[in-house]
Amino acid sequence: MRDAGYIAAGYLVTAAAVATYAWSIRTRMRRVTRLLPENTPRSATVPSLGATEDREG
Amino acid sequence: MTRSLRWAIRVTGVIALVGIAALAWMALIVAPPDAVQGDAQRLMYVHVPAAWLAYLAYFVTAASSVLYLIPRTRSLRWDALAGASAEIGVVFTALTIVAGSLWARPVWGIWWTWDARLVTTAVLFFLYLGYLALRRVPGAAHARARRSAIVAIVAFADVPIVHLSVIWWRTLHQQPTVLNPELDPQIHGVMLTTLMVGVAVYTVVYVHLLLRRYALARAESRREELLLAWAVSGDDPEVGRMVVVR
Repeated sequence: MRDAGYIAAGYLVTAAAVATYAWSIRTRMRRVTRLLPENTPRSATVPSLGATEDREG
Repeated sequence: MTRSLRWAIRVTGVIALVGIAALAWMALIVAPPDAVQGDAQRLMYVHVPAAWLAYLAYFVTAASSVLYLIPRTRSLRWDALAGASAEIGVVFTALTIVAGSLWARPVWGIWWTWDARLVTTAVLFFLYLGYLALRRVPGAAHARARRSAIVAIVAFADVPIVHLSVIWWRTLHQQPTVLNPELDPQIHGVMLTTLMVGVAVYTVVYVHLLLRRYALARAESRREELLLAWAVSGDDPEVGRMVVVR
C-alpha cells in the first residue's frame, strides 16, 4: 500500500488522541469525586448559603 | 451521576467501540483506493468525520449558550453543556487539522498552505481555545456563564465560513464532497457508505464523550459550591485556603 506511513499515522494519532482525551476525563472525574462530601470523612454538616445554583449571583 | 446517565455512558461507549472497529475495517480494507490519490485518500474517513464532529460540537455549544441567555430557560446546566461540548470540539478541530496535514503531504506535497479552508479552520480552533481559556477566568458562576455564552455564539459564525470557504474563494482544498450547494454527493458506492458510517460512528463517539464531560462539569460545579460554602462558614480553614486555588 502506497503512503502507508501517512495513513497509519493518521489513524493512530486519531485513536491515541481520542483515547487520551477519554482517559483525561476519567482521571479528572476521579479527582473531583474524591472531594465530594459523600466521599470525604467530614462530620460537620455542609452549611447552605441560601442560594440555589440557578439563581444569578 | 444518575443511574440513567451511567447507563447511557456505558451503552454509547460499547456502540462507539464496535463502530470504530467496523469503520477501521471498512476504511482500510473494504473501500477501494481513489483513482487519482490512491490509498492516501483513505485518510478522508478520519479527516471528514472529525470536521463534522467539530461542527456538531460547536453547534451544541452555541445552542446551549442561546438557551442560557434566554431568561426563561436560564440554567447553569446549559453553561456546563456548552463548555463540555466546546472542549470536545477543540480536540476534534485539532484532529481535523492534523489528519488533513497528513493527507495533504502525499497528495499536495506540502504539510500546510495558507489556503482559505485551512486558515479558517485554524481560526476556528483558536477561537474556541480562547473560549475555553475565558471559562477559566475566576468569577461568579453566572457572570462567567454569560460572557462565555456571548463569545460562543459569536465564535460559531466561523463554522459556516469554514464550510463555505472552498466555494467563496479559489482554494487548493477540494469542494465539499457531500454537503455541496447542489446536495449532489461526488463520491459513490462503497466510498460514500464508508464515509457515512464514519460520520455516524463519530457522532456516537461525540455523544459518549459529551455525556462523560458533562458529568465531570456538573461534579466540578458541585465541588466548587461546597468548597465555597465551607470557606464562608469557617468550618475548616484548610478547606477555605483550597478555595482560592482552582
